[in-house]
Amino acid sequence: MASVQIDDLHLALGGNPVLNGVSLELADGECVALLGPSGCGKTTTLRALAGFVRGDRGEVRFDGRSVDALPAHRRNVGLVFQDYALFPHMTVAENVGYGLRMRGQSRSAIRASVGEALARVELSGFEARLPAQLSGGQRQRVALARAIVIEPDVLLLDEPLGALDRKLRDGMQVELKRLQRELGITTLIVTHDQEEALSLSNRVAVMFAGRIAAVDSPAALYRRPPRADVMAFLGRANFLLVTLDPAGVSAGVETPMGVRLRAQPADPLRVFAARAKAQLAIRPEHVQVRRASANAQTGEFSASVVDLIYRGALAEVLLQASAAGGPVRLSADLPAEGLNIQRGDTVAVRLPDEHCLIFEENGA
Amino acid sequence: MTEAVAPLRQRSSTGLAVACLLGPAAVLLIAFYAIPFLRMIAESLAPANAGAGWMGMSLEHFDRLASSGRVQRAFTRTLRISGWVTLITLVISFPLALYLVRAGRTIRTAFLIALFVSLASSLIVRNYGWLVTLADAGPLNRLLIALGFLNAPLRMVYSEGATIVALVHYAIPFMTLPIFAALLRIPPSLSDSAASLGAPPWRVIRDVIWPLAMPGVFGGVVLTFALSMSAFVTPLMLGSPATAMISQVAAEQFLVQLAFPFGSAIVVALVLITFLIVVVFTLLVRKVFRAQV
Amino acid sequence: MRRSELVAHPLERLIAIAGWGAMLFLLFPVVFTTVVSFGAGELIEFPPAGWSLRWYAHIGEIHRVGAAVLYSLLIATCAGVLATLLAIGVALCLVRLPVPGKAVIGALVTSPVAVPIVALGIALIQFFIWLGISFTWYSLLIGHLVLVIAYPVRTLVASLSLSNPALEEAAASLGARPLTAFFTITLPQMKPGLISGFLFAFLISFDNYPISIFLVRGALTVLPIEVFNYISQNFDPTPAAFSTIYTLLLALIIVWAERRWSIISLSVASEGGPGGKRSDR
Repeated sequence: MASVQIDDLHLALGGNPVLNGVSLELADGECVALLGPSGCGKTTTLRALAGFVRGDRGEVRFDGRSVDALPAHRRNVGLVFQDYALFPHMTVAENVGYGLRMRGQSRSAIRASVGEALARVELSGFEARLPAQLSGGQRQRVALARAIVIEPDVLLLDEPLGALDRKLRDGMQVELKRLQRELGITTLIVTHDQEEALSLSNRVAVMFAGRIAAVDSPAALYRRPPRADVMAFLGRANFLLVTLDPAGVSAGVETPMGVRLRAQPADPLRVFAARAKAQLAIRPEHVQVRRASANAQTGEFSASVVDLIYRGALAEVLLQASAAGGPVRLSADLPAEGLNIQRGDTVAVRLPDEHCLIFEENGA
Repeated sequence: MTEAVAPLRQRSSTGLAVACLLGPAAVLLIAFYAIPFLRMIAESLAPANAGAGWMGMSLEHFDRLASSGRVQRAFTRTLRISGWVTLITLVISFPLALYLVRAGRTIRTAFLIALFVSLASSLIVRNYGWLVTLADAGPLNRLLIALGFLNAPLRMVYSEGATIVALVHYAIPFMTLPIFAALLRIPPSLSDSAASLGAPPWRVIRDVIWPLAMPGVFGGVVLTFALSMSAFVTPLMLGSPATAMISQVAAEQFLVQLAFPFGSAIVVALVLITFLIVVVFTLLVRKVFRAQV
Repeated sequence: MRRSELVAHPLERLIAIAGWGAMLFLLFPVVFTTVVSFGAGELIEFPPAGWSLRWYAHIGEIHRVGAAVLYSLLIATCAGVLATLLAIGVALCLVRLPVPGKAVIGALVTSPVAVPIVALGIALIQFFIWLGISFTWYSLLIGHLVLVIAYPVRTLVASLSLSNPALEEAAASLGARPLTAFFTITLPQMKPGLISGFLFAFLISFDNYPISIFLVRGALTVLPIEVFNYISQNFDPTPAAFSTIYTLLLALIIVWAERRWSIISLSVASEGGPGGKRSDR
């Protein structure tokens, strides 16, 4: 077990800058998810930790000691690839035991450790099988066993659940969490799937364009994202262009639909100019919708239901409200059970202050 | 044109299609390939005196083959040369293929073009290149003299060594390309995986890359061996009568001695021996390497 | 392993050295021959004492070189075209149609490559003598055809395997009759296979010695035989000049074919790589 420090890592591949100053710390035993869209540099970061690439600037440290000089086969990392990378010409036991063979352990010791590792991933008895004879979920568990049996300092997972179907994925999520907790290995999970990131980790680091944009616990990152692009990437969100009150952001904002709201800036330290334009964001599950009635309450505005998308437990309601400067579109998630709204209805919409976040007009 | 099972009416038209498509080629090959070879085999079994032998067949030419010192020496020499050529070519080609996989796109394309041009080039031109390189007044002799290893030019051409060198040169593309193709099919994540588990680069090659490249290696080895066994033009140009390989001996029987049955027997024996060696080798590789070849 | 990522390790450097070493070994004879071809002296010498272009002019002095070139071109072109045409049918059968015994047919067609070519030459001359058509240009053509047909079959099978049969079904659903679909959809997809197949067939035929030596006599001759005879009887660098021109033309053609039709990439992509060209050993 080791703590990991990535210190201002810069890396260019083939002339293109891929990592532009990545800094991240993983505490000993912590599980961090590195989340970002394709091409953001998360896989490159993982490969830098594994020792396959080396930064042009910056440093990678395990337990405070630099590992930059160590090639991949001398770092004690456990790696699980997206395609599992099981050696097709070796049995399950030979695959799992390979790392121990490299470490010079005796055959009996290897056999015992392999048996233990396979038991941990619930594949006891599979020693003599070949990868071609295994299902996708079983292959993944072999890949995991192979990575953990060597007792690595760091466990690196590259899109671990990407190749599995829905059912398997849910099951493996539980398995992975349990394993990581039991073994207490410092773990980095690289993924573009925010559900994976939120469910598996202690902390989530969101990455855009070669830089870490935000790091926090899953709940905190979801509820109070520091930047609009992070909020947009993590879950769904509605964004409105609003105007700030001359007296400052705490005095309120003016929405295009005519309603005034008193919302908090996402970053309390951000200073906004008076009467500036800003973005207001609210998640669909917080948008309140009720059938239009004669008495309009304060803070409500009217909108028409453009479409309803049934999603099982929830229904996504697509709304359109008329506003100065053109119609505004919002989506709201409402419980599907007992929903008495249909397409074409006029409804009253309310955006509660406590769930609105103010961001700068562009991006952050 | 699909592979779907067709109703009876269409099936007969499929049969007609097959006949039209395969027919001309089949006729050509049966008439001018299968039949001439069968005749040659028959020729090799024909007794010297008509009417003798069992059912009109006789093994006397094969007997003569077995007892002819010259033929035996040629066979041994051919086997020895083929063994050396295959081994040396493998030692040269495998690292070359490994490098091709790792090289950048420009180098890889340039090397592949060079291999292809070599492959497609005239054999006579290529062997002539070795006549030049190994000539008494050629670059190799000049270099060795300049470096002080020799006092006078060494006669290198028209020898078994020259034949081996030229055959290796000929075989390199045939060995490298299948190995390269096999290496390309190995996912890079396997090498990365092995490295992350602690395998230094040489172990990655030994434990992961070599076993998985085995089908390509096997193909290359068998091809190179077969080519060497049947070598004709190369030993003709770069060897001497004392270093004749078996194809030359057979040709000589036909063109010079006009001993058609004996020549046929030599050729048949050559094909059989090569075939046998390849079969035994295939079984060996399957057992020992657990490889799918 | 991506090149830009490699942490330099002694083994990687060793592999690079081995790779370049092998390539230099492959190319040196060509380089030396070219240099020698510009030599002024009467014999092969490296480096040449003086420089001259006389040996290029002297190519014309090779015995019957004109007739040899003509015959070689004629036979090679015919063999290449015919082999490719025949191979189209064979490849279509092997890849697209349910034919029993595919493996056997495939093996039969490509086996001339594996058999000692001398054996083929010997078998054929005996056969032609028996038929009474020996030493004619068309019997020579037949001999070459049998040898080279394996190559277009191989490249066309590779080409077809890589193309999608659903395309032909789509064409049919749009109203194309089988023959039309073939010419407008299937054939264009086979282009790399057709080009590389023809090229290989042509080059193997053009360069072939072992079959030709048995099948020619008298007025009939081919270039490899005349060049070979010249090399056996003379020691001047004329063949070097010939080699240089030949190799240069060949390199240009292959580079052009690769640019235009990606024939190399295709050959490498097909299973097990190319069976290879074998004019002889």
